[in-house]
Amino acid sequence: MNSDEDLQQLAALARATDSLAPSPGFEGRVMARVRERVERETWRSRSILLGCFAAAAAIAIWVAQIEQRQADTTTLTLIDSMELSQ
Amino acid sequence: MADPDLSLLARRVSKGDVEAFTGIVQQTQGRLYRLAARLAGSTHDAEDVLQEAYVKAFNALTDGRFDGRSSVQTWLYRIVSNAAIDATRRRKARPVSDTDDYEPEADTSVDPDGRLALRELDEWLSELSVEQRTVLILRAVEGFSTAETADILGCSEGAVEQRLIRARANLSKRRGET
Repeated sequence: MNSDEDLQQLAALARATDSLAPSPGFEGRVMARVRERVERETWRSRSILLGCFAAAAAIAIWVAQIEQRQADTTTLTLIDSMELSQ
Repeated sequence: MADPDLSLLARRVSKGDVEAFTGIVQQTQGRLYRLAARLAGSTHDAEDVLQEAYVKAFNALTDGRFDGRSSVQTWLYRIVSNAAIDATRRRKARPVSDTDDYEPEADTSVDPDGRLALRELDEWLSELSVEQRTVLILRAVEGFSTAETADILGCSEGAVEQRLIRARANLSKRRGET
């Protein structure tokens, strides 16, 4: 047997494996893993978005509180000055 | 080797159409499974390798990591070959007691003749390194050219030729010993 015959034997052996195929339901199992990954990614994106909204809301409340406090201080100062002038 | 259907499906997947990936799996699973089985030498490992490879391919498509320089088919062959090479290395690194009863449960869904032929093929190629085995299978069995094999394996054409020469020499040596 020479080197070419080795390759011929290899090809013959490989041809004999042509009947091999994935087990039933293989495609479904792959797609289940793929969909699982997509769901995980979607959930992650939503969590990030939700986190951003929560942070933005907290900042808005904080800013509103500061503004309210400033407005209250201004009003009180105004009332005090009016009372003093009377 | 470029397949317009596969390219179209890959583009749809990269744009967020998850179900288009089913088409890719349907069109390629037979060929890629046989490649994984021939490289890994086991139907048991072949299915794990292929499943892992498909998930990697999907992630790469959705993350925009498939640049389209190779055809989708060549690219998938590359992912499966690399996964099979890793699986074979892991298998070889396992303690002997683990490899003795390598295929724990007989999968009745696999054609027994095919499985027997695969075992024979695996034994026949057992003296080759993983790289030599991969090159030999891609070139002599899958029918890829030297350039395509180099593209799949991410090495030079010279390296492919060199591995092929060594693989053939090892087979001749083995023949001389038997």
